[in-house]
This record gives sequence, C-alpha cells and structure tokens, in this order.
Amino acid sequence: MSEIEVFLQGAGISRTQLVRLPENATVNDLVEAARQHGLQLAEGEPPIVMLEDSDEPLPLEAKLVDAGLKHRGRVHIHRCRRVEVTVNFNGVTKVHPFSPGQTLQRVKAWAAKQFGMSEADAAEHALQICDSTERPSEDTHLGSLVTRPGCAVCFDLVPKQRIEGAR
Amino acid sequence: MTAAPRPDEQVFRSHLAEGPFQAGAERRRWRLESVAWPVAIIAVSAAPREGGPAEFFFRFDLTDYPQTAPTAQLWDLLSQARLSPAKWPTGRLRVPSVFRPDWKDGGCLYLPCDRVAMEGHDGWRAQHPHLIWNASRDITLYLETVYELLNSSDYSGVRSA
Repeated sequence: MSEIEVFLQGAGISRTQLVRLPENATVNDLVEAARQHGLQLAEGEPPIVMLEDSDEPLPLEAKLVDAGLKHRGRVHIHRCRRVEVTVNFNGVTKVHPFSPGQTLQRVKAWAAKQFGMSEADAAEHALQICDSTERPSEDTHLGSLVTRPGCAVCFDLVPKQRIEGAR
Repeated sequence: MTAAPRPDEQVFRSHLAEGPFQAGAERRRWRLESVAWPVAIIAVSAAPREGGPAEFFFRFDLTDYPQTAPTAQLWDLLSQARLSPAKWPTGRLRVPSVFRPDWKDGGCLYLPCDRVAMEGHDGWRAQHPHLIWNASRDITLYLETVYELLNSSDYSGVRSA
C-alpha cells in the first residue's frame, strides 16, 4: 500500500516531524501518530487538527486525502482552537487571535501591517519570543510555541542585526 | 566490506531525513548535492537578482557533527574549488557582513553558527544568541540563516553584477 507523508507540528512538538501513514489513514490515525512524536494532549482533551495556515478543523473520522491533505502537506494538532498573539514594537502592543496552525510568517505580516511597516522593513525584522532570545523560524506554527495553561504567545518584533566583529 | 558510517555521519544523515531538513527541501529552499564525509555540498536557493544565480553551493565541513558546529564556504561545483569572490553574494548591509571574501581568505561564512567564524567572537553569544550552535541544533539552523539572507531585501545579487 502506498504511503502519505505529512509534515507535522503541534502542542509539545518542538521540531517539525515527518510522519508516514498509509494512504487510507484517517485524521484520527494522524493524531495517534503525533502522540508517538510528542504531541501533548491531556486525558480527554479533544485534538484540533488543521492544515497549515487554515482556520478550519479537519473532521477526525475523515481520511486524510478526503480532508484535503496532500502528500507532504503540513498539519498542526493542538488543544487550542485559537491562540491569542501579542506583538510588541516600539512601546506599542497589538493583540489578535490566530489559528494555532498559522505560521509565524503570517503573524509577522499581520504585525508589520499593524505597525505600518513596508514589506522591505518587515523583512528586516523578526519575531522574538518575549523574555527570551528565541527567534523561531517563520515556518513555525504558532501552536508549537504555546505553553500551558493558556492559549497565548507573546512576541517582540525586533530588527535583524548585522553580524559585526573583527574587521 | 564497506566500513560503517562514523557516529557524526550517522547523526547528520538522520537529520537529512527528518522533518526540518525535508520541510525546507520541499519548499525548494535547499537541496543536498552530495556527501563525502565529513564534507557535504548543499545548494541554497537565492531570490532572483539580475546576474545572480538561482542557488549558491556551500561546502560544509561537518566533522564531529553535531557536537561541533559546522563550517561552510561558498563552492564552485564545476571547478571543485572555493567560489571566485566576483561570484559571491552581496547586498546593502547584512549580506556583505556575512559573505566576506576578506575574512579568513573566504574560508568560512562570518556567522555565529559557523565554528571557524565563532573563534575569537565570544561577544556573539550575547549579541546573537539565536544563532549560536549547540549539540541540540541541526544543519537547518545554518541553512535557514543563509536562506534568509539570500532571500532578503538586503541581498542585491553577486559582486560582479
């Protein structure tokens, strides 16, 4: 039987996982596979499965292919239906709810618009997790950065610095 | 009989098969050209610029990966030698600060995640902590950093253009 490969991110999954499933696997099967790759859902917590950058949960009983998932498609699994995102820049704070499967690229584009940045200026800034030095890749799904007990993530929008040192 | 791969090569090859590397390859950000341990040649895509290539090749030395950070140099596949400085990427500010033919004779990229460049730059640990290598990192830290530069508004093409 042929297989379908899925790029998976989710609650408790800090690195993108490449998961292989039979072509006729269901969304539920993907959730079970995700548990083997570190998906963190509490007992009885219903999984919310979404395609990357989508707002609509996939039906758990559906076959992956019928749910619109293509070979090497990207999926997010989380407990939160929405993630409240806070972005700070130059002493101004903007807040907006996003789907956990939204990429940081989308979030940054939203933030840049909120702060009146040009596309070129936005490209010279990065999202850094508040009170940390972590700058996740722009392919990272929001939900991967959420920590319990809430459904929220805070970022500072910071300039990308030139590497300087010895001449 | 073929000797078993060294542990550092085994880890590198497992990282090549895992999600982060494959996800970038799927988006055509990079692709593996070859591995002849401890060297790997990887192509990284660049934004279209007049006179610029679609991708640049990097020759990685991955000795003691991932305990020790990689080091990479721009590579000319045809001549199997370091890329001529005229063909190096350049730009406004951030790109030329990383691609410096004058630094170590062009033998590495001026990046905090490059083991050769990191020597003598302890200050980078505080200035660029998100780019500092440690054993839990994988090759995609380096590749994402280079890809971002070659696809930024800062990148203007090659030096000779």
